[in-house]
Amino acid sequence: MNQTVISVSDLVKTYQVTKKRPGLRGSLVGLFRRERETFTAVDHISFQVSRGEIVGYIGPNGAGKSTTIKMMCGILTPTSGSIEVCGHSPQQDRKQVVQHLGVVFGQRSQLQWDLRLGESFELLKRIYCVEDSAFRATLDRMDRILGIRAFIDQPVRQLSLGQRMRGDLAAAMLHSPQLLFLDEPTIGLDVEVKHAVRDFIKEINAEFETTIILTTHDLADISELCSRIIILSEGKIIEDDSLDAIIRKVSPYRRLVLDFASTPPELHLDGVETESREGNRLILRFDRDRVPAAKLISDVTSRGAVRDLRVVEPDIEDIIRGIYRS
Amino acid sequence: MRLLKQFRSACRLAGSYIKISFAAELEYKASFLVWLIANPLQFFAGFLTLNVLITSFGGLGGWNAGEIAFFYGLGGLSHGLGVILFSHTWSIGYQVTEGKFDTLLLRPHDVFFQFCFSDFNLVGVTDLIPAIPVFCYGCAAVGFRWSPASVAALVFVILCVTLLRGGIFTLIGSIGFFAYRTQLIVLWLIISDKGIHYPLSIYPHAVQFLLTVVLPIGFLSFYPSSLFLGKELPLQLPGGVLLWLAGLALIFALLGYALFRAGLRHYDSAGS
Amino acid sequence: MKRLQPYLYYLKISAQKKLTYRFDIWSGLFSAALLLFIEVFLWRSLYSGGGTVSGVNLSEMLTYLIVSLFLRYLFSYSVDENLRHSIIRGDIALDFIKPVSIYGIYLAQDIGTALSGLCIFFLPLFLLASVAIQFPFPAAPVLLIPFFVSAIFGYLILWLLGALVGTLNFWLLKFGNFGMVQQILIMLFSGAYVPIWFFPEWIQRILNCLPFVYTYQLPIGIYIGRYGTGEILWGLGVQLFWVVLLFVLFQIVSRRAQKKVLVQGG
Repeated sequence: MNQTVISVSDLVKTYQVTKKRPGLRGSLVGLFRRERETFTAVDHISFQVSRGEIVGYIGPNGAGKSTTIKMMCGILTPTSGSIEVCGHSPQQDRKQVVQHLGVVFGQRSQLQWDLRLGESFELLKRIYCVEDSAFRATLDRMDRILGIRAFIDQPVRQLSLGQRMRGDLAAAMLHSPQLLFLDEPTIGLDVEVKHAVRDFIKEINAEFETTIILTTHDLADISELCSRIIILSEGKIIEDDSLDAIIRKVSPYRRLVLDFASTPPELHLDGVETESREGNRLILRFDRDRVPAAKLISDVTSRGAVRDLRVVEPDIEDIIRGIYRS
Repeated sequence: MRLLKQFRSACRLAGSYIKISFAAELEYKASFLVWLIANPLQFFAGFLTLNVLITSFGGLGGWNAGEIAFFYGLGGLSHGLGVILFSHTWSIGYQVTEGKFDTLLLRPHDVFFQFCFSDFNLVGVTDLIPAIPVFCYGCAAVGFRWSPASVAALVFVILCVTLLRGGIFTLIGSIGFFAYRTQLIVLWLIISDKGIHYPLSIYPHAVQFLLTVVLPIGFLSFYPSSLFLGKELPLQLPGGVLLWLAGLALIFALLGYALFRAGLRHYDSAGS
Repeated sequence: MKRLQPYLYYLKISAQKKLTYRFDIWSGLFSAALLLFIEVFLWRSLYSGGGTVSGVNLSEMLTYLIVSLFLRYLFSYSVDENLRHSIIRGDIALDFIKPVSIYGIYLAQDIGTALSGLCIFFLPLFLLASVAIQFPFPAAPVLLIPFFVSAIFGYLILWLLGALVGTLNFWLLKFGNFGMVQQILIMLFSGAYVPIWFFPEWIQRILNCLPFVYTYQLPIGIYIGRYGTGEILWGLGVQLFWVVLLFVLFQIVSRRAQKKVLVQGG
């Protein structure tokens, strides 16, 4: 079943920003006159997301990721273009749309700061009109995945960052949303909690077919979770594909690192380049589509005495950085 | 039938918001203490200062000490209620920069409804507490006649003035949607506070007109007190004080709501 | 001079900060003007019978209001608030290990704020008041000297009180903002709005034993010529006494606070 959950077309969002003049003189002048300029945060973007997808929505800081997410939630109104989420416009039918949405902002908790965690859950239960039995069932499930019962009676302000994030994730799931927006959910978390968050995302995606849109700067999140990535830069979509396809497109090469017993032999193979040659070490770069790794290895080992070898995949971080720069 | 169900669930939600804000306030029992000292201190000291002036000069704008106590206490009662119910409108600009409205917009309920009920300010009780003895003293000093009719009128006046204050708070607070950092609400608090300090009769006619029609400060306590005490009004109000009060309360409440709506439309949340 | 440079920079920055929010400036000017006129109407109404009450006539009282406004902008300090926020955020430990004195920075900032406040707010208000109310002549030009001396002492008393209350937040933070109570006490008992000579004798006697009247009422009283030479000298002496006493108290408390931060980590 390929049901469209989100459909965004030709979306634009511009802001008016006031320019500030430098210095005391500038401040004085600013008392009377102020210049405004238009800043385009999101620039004609279109995409569709199907039910059950996990989409990584990435890009450098200020690329317009959060702005898009806020427009999809109905928090911001687009300057132009259209959005449909779960069959409704988030601007016109905000209440219907948010009933199907769970949202977590990594940098901003939605829990009641002063009160114990459970109190926030109780409030959300009433806000979303969740039945008692469903509420208890969800809490049990969230406890199984995230272990929230361990700290449910502590005030939110006393929770560690990791505990608070787990609380926020559970809070976003209380009304069993079809669609989950996670804005930097792993920011500032230690390795173990990051792992728990990723497990959580995988589990709810598998169990409830929850569609997930994830923004993050942690590329491990992406490679581990996302079947699809949308890369945004300066408000425009520059890539929209699976991680594999993007890697193939941007960097179709792999490397073969070989250590020989003596000086490496000269090699002239089709689709293979010598990248470096240093002492007994030889590094070859080859096109993954044209040259199968197994064949290359057997070719090389027949020409000389190889002591050790490994195939190196391109580094995602380098690739993404390359895309951001271009 | 569906409407009734919606109404009941709205009431339940409002109830749990109120419960939550009480619980949150009780987390900070100790800091409540400072307010419990500061607000009554300010209230009583303001009252004391007025009495000192009345003693030195033999009256204030034609009002004697007992009448001033009635006037000052009545103003304090609605001020306390206004602070309890509406003080979160004061910080709309700050809440915008903190992304509070993001959270409210993510919930399947009306934003204004959530905003009104999501925060009760118990600190307002410390404004209310000192107003009660001053008002009672004023009632005794002027020989206020307690009857079902006069009590009903008193309750009506206090409710209207509270609504009027709430409407003005919302109106001014909603400017925070457009200019994040404004001191306008502080300005209003200072002016309205001074407004309840002194009876309107100390001002020249033009100022009295201004404080009646443009900034309805006269209605926060002066006109209602004049009505109860049978004082002559400096300005003629066709239709009577109560009608004007109710009308202004309604007008400002609606204006406040309208500007809040407009502000929400304008709302650009912080960050990208 | 070189050692003063960081402080001067803070002074400049905080003076500039005041200009950032123009909406604040316009609304601040408007409200200050409005409040001034409310006070003027109050006193005109009180003095409608004419004559002298408690030794002061209407014209002297109006001068009192305008000079009080000057002092209010001069005396705008936020050392208590700054300390409180720094303690709440936990920055204070970092502040203490900076190579400059944190109290020096706060003083520089407060002076910067006061100077820009005088220029942006008081100057227009002064012009307005001179035209619309009256020009606030001092009772005699020579009185300007003791007036400014006493105003500076008054500033020191208030600033040290602020620094003291701010530092007490190390112990009292959980009880809320005591700066608020202090502000109310100052505004009521310093004669900033209503001179305490209208108060009953016994209240005056109590207030004379507290530092508050030596911040606003003494300098303004000197300005409008209420005090003779002997009283002025006595008043300046009492001010000096308060400055020294508060300074010693402040030293003791801030030493304790630093020790608390460095030993217990705040």
